[in-house]
Amino acid sequence: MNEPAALPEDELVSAVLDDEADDAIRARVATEAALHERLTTFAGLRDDLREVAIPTAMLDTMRLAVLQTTAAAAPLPRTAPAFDLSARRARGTKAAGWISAAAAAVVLIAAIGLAGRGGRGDASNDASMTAAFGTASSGSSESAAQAADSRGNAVGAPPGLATNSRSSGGANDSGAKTSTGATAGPSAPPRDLGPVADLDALISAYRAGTSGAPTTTGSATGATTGAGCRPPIAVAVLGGRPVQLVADGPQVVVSDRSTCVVVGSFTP
Amino acid sequence: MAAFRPALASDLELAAAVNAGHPAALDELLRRHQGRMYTICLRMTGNETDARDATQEAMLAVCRGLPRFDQRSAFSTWVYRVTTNACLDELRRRARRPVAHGSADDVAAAAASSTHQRAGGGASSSAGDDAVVARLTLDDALARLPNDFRAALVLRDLCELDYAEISQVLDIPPGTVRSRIARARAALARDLGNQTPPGDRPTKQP
Repeated sequence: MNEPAALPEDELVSAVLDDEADDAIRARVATEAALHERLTTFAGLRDDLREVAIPTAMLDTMRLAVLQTTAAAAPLPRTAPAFDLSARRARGTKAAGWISAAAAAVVLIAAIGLAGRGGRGDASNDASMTAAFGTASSGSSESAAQAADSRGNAVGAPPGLATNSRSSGGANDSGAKTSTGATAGPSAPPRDLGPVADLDALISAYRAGTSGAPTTTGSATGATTGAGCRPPIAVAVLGGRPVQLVADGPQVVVSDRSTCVVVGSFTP
Repeated sequence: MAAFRPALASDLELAAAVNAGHPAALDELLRRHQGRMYTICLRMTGNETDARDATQEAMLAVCRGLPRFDQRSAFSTWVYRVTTNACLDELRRRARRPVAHGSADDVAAAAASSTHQRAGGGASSSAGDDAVVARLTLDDALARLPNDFRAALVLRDLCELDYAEISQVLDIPPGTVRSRIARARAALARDLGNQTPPGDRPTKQP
C-alpha cells in the first residue's frame, strides 16, 4: 500500500464510522478537516455497498428447493419404542467394555507367551505357556520361574537358576527362559552325584551306571553359555562348589549352579 | 399445547423448533435471512451467478448445521459465518476455474442486467446509466480487494456486525478486523477516485 503513514488515520476514521472509537478519537476526527472528509467518503462507500437489488422471487424458489432437498435427505422420523431398552443397552455397553478389556488382556498374555517360546519347537512349549500364564495370573516374575521349574523338570534345580542370568528380566522373560530347560527331559529329575573331589571324579560318578569314557575335559572358562544355564540332568558338589550337569547335544556340560559358569564338558 | 406460529417466534425459538421437528420453522428462518445471505454472497463473489451458487450452498449448510448450532452467538451471526464460509469456498472454486476477470463481456452483461432491473423504476436514462456505472465501478473495486479484506468489510457494512463479532466469524483478532476494514475502505476510496495505480493493493496481513 502507498502512504503507510495514512493507514492509522484510516483506522481512526473507520472506527468512528463503525462506532468503535472512543471520545478522543471522535473529537479528533470531528475537528480535523481531512479526517472528517475521509469519514464522509467512507460513509458514502458504505451506503453504496448496501445498495443491492435482492431477487426475492429467485430466493423463494431457491429456498423451497433447498427445503425439499433437505427433507429428502433427512432420516425417517423415529417411532416410539414399545419398550425402553436404554437401561439394558447401558448395561450391555458396560459388559461389552469389560469383555473387551479382558479379551485385550488375554491377547496380550498370549502374545507374551508366544514370544517366549519362539525358536523352541520341543516338548517344553507347554511349560513355556504355563509359565507365561502363571506369571500373568500371579503378577510375579519369581512365581513364574518357580512355576516353570516345578512343572518342567527341575525338582532339584537351583532356585536361582531362572533369575540369576537375567537380573533385569521381566515376567515374560523369566517365564520363557525357564521353559528352555525342559529339553533335558521334563520328567527326569536330576541325579544327585554327591560331593566329588575333582572333575575326573565327577565324570566317574556320572558314569557309574552308564557306559562311556570321557573324551574331553574342560576347565573353567569364566564364560556363561546357554547350555550351562539349562536345567540339569544331574547335580553334584565339585570341590565344595555346587555344580550341575547339563546335556548339550552329545556332550554333558558341567557348570556352576549359581553362576552358570562352565567348568568343563565331557562325552558320556 | 399452544400452536406454533413461526412468524411470531424469534430466531432462537425457530432454531429450537426446527430441531424439534417443525419444518415450517426452518422455512421461516431461511426466509428471514435469505436476502442478507444473498447480499453477502453478491458482494463477496462480485457476480450474480456465483452469488446464487454460494447462497444455495449457504442455505444447505444452514439446514445441515442447524442441529449443531450451540446458541453461543446470535443466530444471525452464525448464519453470516456459514454464508461467509460458503462464499469463500465458492471463491476458491472459482480461483481454480480459468475465467478472465473483468472481461468486456462480463461488464456488458452486468450493465445490461442492472439496466434491466432499474428500468422498471421509471428512472431517467441518464440517472440509470450513472447508477450502473457507479455500481460496476464499486463491484470492480470490491472484486480487486483480497478476499479476507472484502469479507471483513461486507460483514461490517452489510451485516452490521461489530468488530468482536467479525473477529469471531473470521477467527481473527479484533485489531486485525479494524485494520482490514480500514484498509479495504481506503483501497475502495482510492480505486473509485482513480488515485492509485491498479497494482498497489492492500496485501494480507500476517
